[in-house]
Amino acid sequence: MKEKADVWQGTLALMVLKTLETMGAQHGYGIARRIEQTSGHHLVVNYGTLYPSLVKLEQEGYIDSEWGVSDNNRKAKYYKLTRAGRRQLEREAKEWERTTEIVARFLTSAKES
Amino acid sequence: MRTLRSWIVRLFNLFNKDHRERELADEMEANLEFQIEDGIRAGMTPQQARRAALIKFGSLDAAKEAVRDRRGIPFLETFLRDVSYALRMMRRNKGWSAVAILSLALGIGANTAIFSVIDGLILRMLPVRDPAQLVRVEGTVYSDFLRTTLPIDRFPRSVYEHFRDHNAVFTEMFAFSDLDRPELSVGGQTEGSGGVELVSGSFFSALGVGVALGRGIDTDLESPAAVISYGYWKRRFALDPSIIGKKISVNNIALDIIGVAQPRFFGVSRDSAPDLWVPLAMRSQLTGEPVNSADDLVSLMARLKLGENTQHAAAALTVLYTQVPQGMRFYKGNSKAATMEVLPGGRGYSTLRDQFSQPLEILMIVVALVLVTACANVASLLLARATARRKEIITRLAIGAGRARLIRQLLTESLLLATAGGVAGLALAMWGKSALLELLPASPAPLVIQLDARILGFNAAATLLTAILFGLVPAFCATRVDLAAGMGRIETTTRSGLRLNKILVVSQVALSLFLLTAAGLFLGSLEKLKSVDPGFNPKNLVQISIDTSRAGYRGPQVAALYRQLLEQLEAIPGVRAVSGVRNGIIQNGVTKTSIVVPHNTAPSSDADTVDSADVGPRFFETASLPLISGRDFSAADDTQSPKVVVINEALARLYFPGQNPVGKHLSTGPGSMYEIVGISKDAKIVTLRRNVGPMLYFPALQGHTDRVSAIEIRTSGDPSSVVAAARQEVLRINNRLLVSIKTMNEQIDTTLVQERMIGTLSGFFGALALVLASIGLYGLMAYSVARRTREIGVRMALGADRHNMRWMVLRETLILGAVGITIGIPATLVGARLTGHWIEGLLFQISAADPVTIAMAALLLLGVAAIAGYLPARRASRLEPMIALRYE
Repeated sequence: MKEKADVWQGTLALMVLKTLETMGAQHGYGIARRIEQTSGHHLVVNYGTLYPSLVKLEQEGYIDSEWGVSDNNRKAKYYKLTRAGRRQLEREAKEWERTTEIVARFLTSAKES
Repeated sequence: MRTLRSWIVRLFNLFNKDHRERELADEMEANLEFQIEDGIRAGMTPQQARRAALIKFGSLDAAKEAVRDRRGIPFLETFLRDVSYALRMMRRNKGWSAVAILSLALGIGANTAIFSVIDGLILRMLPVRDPAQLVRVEGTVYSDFLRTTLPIDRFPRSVYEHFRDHNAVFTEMFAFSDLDRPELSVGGQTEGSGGVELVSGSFFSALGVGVALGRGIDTDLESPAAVISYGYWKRRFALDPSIIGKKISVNNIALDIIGVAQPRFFGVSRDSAPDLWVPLAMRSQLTGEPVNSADDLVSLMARLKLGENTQHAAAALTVLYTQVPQGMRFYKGNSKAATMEVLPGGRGYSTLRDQFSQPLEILMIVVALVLVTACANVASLLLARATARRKEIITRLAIGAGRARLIRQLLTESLLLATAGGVAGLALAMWGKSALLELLPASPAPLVIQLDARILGFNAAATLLTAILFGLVPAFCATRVDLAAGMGRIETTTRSGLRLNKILVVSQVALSLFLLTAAGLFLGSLEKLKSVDPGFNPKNLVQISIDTSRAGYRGPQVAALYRQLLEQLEAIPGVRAVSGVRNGIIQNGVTKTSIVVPHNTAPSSDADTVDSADVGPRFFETASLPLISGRDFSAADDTQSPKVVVINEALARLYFPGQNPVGKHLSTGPGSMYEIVGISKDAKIVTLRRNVGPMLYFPALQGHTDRVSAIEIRTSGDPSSVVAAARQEVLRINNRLLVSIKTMNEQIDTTLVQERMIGTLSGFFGALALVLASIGLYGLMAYSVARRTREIGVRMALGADRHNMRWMVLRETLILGAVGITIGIPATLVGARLTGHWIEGLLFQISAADPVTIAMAALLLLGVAAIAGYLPARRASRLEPMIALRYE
């Protein structure tokens, strides 16, 4: 049986950016739920990691936040992607694809030899 | 980029923290609610949903803490918190903080002040292009006449031109020379004193110094042009933009102002800042004397070619010198070769530096030691206070504060103390530096006086180092506690803290002994120099320095002027006698004469060249220089009468042992025979420092009248009234004649400036160390009495009387003092051994390990220890036993 893994910092930022790109403005809980769902519940988002990550992304100017009202009339803080964030997401995604591709190629070639 | 942005945001997040905290709590609350709602929607009861949500969320506080760390700058936040806590602590102990800060301010201030003078005078490069490439050209030449090698730092202009045109080692070369006592006037109005430097056409371009306005001097031709300094432009002309083309007169020769030098350029000397630069070729016009290029002496500087070194350049110049035509060399007649030296010149010229480097270096060591004493003082104050704060520290450790965290907080407190001390020290240093510069004989270029980044940097570094030096050990000691024992009963002291405190106080005493001994040595030398018997009577003697050639007197006119001066000055009421002398008395100027004594029995040696002085009639009477036998000179000893000479005792002993030389003859060369008419006592008329050697006195009226440069006046009473009248009299004869007028005691004082500076300052710093040590002793004893209140109560209850108690405390203080002295004496002796050779030149008739001085310093320290111990001792003796027993 597989254990649920914690999301580690570097990839969390990428996942947050991607989530915001697909879903638009979203609050912290929404982001966490979406990430967990997308991973098929293989990942658990720890709030002690998520909140600092959001703070960091906001400080770097990749996301923006403002208070809004949810569907069921609850006041919540909503995060949305900025233009710099969109560019960063593109860069990061490409970087990530390349890395996984290299690792994958390495693993297959290692198997063949 | 992004990192920088986030740091700025984090910095701003230090403010308005409450608001951000609330926001974070709200956000988390909202997210928790979303989760609960989701749970309910999935079919859980509200209680179950809340429980699940809380489990999922984990520790809210941990999440908040993680956000806080990321949001702000935790390190800085902690630091700010520590600072505000430290400020509160400081306010609560005002007296304690004041003593600590004052100690540090004095220590850091003294260091900053001395450093800033050293930096300005010794370390700093000239503000010109590539100063490291600049070199000075100097050398040595053998003098046939004096039979000795003489240093040369100025060269005939002919030599400069030869070097400039033929050398292959420099890219550029330039020459300059100060104009002696110039008179400036603008628009017919005489200016205050100002400096004029004569410079070669290459001066500005070779230095790479630009102009703020107009152009620099760029000609070697005789052209009436002048470049003024930026400072002078600002001071005198209020930065007038239309200054170019205006006239300025030097010695009544009108010059066109063609440029203003760039700001902050003060010439190549550290000692003075010229107001005006004028082409070198203008010298003879400005001095009114024809100057040929072999007599026109200039200082030489150059830029080394890339890859060239100073030794090779010097060798090349030495060879070049031999190619200079005979008549154009140094000392026209001198055909001997000279050796050239090429020295680093990026720091410029400075006679002040030559004279004061060593005293300043000694003082730097002294003030560094004073700072160490101050640190020891503050460290012991901190230890005492750490004991008082023991309860606080134990409590904080007990509730979980880490030791490192506590040490950090204590160090922050130290840093704050040091910073307060450093800032106050900087203010003290700026004030102290002007006082220090007052002690120098000349006022150095403005560069030395500025406060800039280098000095601020030094101050900051000293502050930081100080904080670590005095803060680290007490911080470690204070936090090393046994929690279990500490919580149980509140002990009032740590034994190790007290022992460390004693060590600190003892080392303060030892250091003070060293510093006091040094001060004693320098002050003792100064006193000894002051009380040297010069052989003549300096009291009620006035010396007027004159410059006949500048005033325009030539040849026989000088003799006439001289007679006129003597006559008119003698008529001033209160004047007993007037005479003259070639080199002023105690002006360190000496003339050498080679003598031949018929039937000489003395071993032939260098002593055949002896010191000589040309003096006026009644010189010995005027100077109160006693004659052992024979007679004084009179106005009758002139060119018409037989040649006569007065010799001193030393010469009589050497050449006429066991005889009466009066009436005998000596010669100074073929055809010049002198009859000895008198023998004088040995007198130090050249300098107080050297012992008197054989010496000759010639009557000036018989030969070198034109070289008389000083008039001596013997007054019957207080010389000050005569000084004013004599000044009037000299100015009336010719207003360009007077150079200076001083009483002989003032003249002697000016020669002691080096000794006075180091004596005064080392005395001051020695006293400072003494005060610090006494504060240390007092603090330790006061604290020890407070700590032992119960013990004292018990002793008194058991029958010890007040006298016993007083003596007990006093004895402990004296023992601490004595231990410090016992350690200090060998340390001082070692110090004297190590530095003896180095400081020898500044000591006069006293050895570096002078036992009397050390003993005096030790006694002084013991006395101060007794005073410092007396107050706590009295307090101990006045304790009421019943109250003391119930203490705590």
